[in-house]
Amino acid sequence: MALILFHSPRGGTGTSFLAATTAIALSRAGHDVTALDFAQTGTLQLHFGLGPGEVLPALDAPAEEAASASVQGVALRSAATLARQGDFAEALAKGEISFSGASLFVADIASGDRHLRDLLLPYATLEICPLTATAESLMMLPAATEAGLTKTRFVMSMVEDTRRFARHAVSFLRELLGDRLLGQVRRDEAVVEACAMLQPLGRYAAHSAALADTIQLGASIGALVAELVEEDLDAEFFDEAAASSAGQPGKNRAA
Amino acid sequence: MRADARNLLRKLSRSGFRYREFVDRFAELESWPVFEALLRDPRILPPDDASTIAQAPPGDGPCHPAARAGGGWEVVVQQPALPCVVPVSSLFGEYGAVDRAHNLRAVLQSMAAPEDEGGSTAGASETATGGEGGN
Repeated sequence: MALILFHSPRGGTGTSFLAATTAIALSRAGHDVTALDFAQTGTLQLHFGLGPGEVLPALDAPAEEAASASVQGVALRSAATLARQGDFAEALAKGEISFSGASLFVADIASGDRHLRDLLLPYATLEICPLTATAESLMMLPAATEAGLTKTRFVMSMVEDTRRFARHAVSFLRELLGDRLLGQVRRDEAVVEACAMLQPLGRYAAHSAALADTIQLGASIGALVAELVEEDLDAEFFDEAAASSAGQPGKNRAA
Repeated sequence: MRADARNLLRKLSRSGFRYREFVDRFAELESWPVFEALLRDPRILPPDDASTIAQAPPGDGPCHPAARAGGGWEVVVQQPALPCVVPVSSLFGEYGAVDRAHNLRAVLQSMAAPEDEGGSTAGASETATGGEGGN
């Protein structure tokens, strides 16, 4: 159905947490969701309550092997090794690795892996870029906008609205980004504690402020993806109609 | 959940916290220099638009908009100063442009590909949070 990238140009912005909780929220909303760990740091699976000893099946693993790695309705796959193979870009281009079908794919990409982000972006429906309410994070914004913003939406992460600058930064970015700022997720000690307990946040702290925010964010992302997919299908339909009227075969998306 | 918080909730016969916003303080927004630095960045604003906010005489600070009129075009690096408090609606006016918020969004949207529709009407000065909070 769609590939959703989670990538921030700055590390420590809660990207893996947001990817995991969004995947869970989308699954609870009835979607078939697969979470892809492109970072290979183990932080994505930690937010599903899986410790470092748990090895995720690879993206290209047989279906029966992958079926065992499902947490809270989300299928978990490791894609880091596959992405580092020399023919990964070619496999994407040929459609051998495809993100079409009925599933929603949520990809967690390490902040430093800009190359992989750029490689996957053409196949993605949406990119979520978490920012924190710090001057350091805001200063990454110009670099983040350089590659274009067509598919990118922003989320303020780990917001402490008892802090003056955090409130002002959120307000400033609301003015600057408009509806490209999808929402905010409050800083919550329960997130850290849930990881330490090797439990998903929803199980460890059902009343977590961050959990409430991520559920709301997941709903926004789900609605946006549905809208974008619909637009893509419409565009594809018109492309094919125009191509057939010109006597040429229609072009399909690579993924 | 922390033990002291759990004990407090037990005494109050509550199962969770009701998160309350700092609503009154959201009505104010300060013109931090880092915000202006972002707006001066040509990757955020094209040079034509950025020149509007760079129209400030030497020594003029972002907290003194009245002194900007008739200034030169030189971008002046201001000394870090304590931010002044201005209403959120006039923040972008503080940087020297009328209706800056609207213009900024238009510029940002223009940086996207043509098929991107954009068209925000957002701009609330308050942060919408709510629900049960805890921990």
